[in-house]
Amino acid sequence: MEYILSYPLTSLIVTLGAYSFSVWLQKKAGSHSLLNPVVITIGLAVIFISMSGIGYETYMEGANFIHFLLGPATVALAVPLYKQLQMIKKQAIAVITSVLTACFISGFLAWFIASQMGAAQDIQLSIISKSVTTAIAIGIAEKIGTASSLAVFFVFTTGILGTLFSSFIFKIVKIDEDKAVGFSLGATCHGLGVAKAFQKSETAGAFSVLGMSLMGLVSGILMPLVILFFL
Amino acid sequence: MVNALLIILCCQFTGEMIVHFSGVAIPSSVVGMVILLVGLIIKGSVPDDLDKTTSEFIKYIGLLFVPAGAGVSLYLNLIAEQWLVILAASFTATIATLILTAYAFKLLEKKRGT
Repeated sequence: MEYILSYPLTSLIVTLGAYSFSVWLQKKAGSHSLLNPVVITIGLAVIFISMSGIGYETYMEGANFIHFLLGPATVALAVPLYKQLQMIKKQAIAVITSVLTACFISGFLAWFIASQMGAAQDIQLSIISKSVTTAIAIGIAEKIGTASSLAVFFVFTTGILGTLFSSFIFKIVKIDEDKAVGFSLGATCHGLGVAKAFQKSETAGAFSVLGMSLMGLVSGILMPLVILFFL
Repeated sequence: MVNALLIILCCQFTGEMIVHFSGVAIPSSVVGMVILLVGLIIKGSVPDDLDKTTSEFIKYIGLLFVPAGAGVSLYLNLIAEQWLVILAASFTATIATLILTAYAFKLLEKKRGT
């Protein structure tokens, strides 16, 4: 039994199977955003790791084949960003200022509150990239030497919290413009924010993709540099 | 498909080499992304093959987060212990970022538009 559970193909099949099941489940439940397939798949993988007792390292022997593809997938993100570039030309100042605002506020504020409230070092560092799209947040975590799994956890916590409260928040602060709301959703809540923005309108969706990709690019360059400078 | 993959892997490889030999603290995949972006800007369009392959890749990008995310199994105790800090920091920073980013965008967009 132990041989079967720790065989690399087993982890690979469990992960792909869990993902396929989670996608099916979300469709079945009318694409509810709280039933995020990635979150459910991670939950199922965690259950598999602890129930089987094989430990994370053994699990990764198989799952590494999937993990390896993150690098190429990150490079591929250049294509959607390129397609949105025309929009930047018209709104260059707004776009650049907003993305720097998102980068600074999300990173600094999360780190500041976590450090003031006495969070563990790993939490303080991996929470900084919470608004960055997952693939790049993992890259940042690996670069600054903190737990990439915690980074993924915070990215999804942020995406879920943000999309749950965004409609309410934007109503309170009276911001309803498609472009501003879309860009902010993408820059703050990455992929989950993009899905939310497309529910509002096509324009909001397009600007959310721009917000997400630029936020990833800018944070991927600035965050490790700044963090390693102060560490 | 093969050509598109080759382009992507070469960008990543070049990124890796740049990071390795310059020692700059940027994730190599992000450098690879910049290289591809610059290439596309110079070329002025996205080749069909590359467009199809990347959109297929990105469609399943969520699956690729699972192995790293599953590592959270090592931190369940830490998260249970510090859930209040985590919630406070996540919630405050998320709401503040949502508001300030949208506000900055709205403010500057108006100035240009009118």
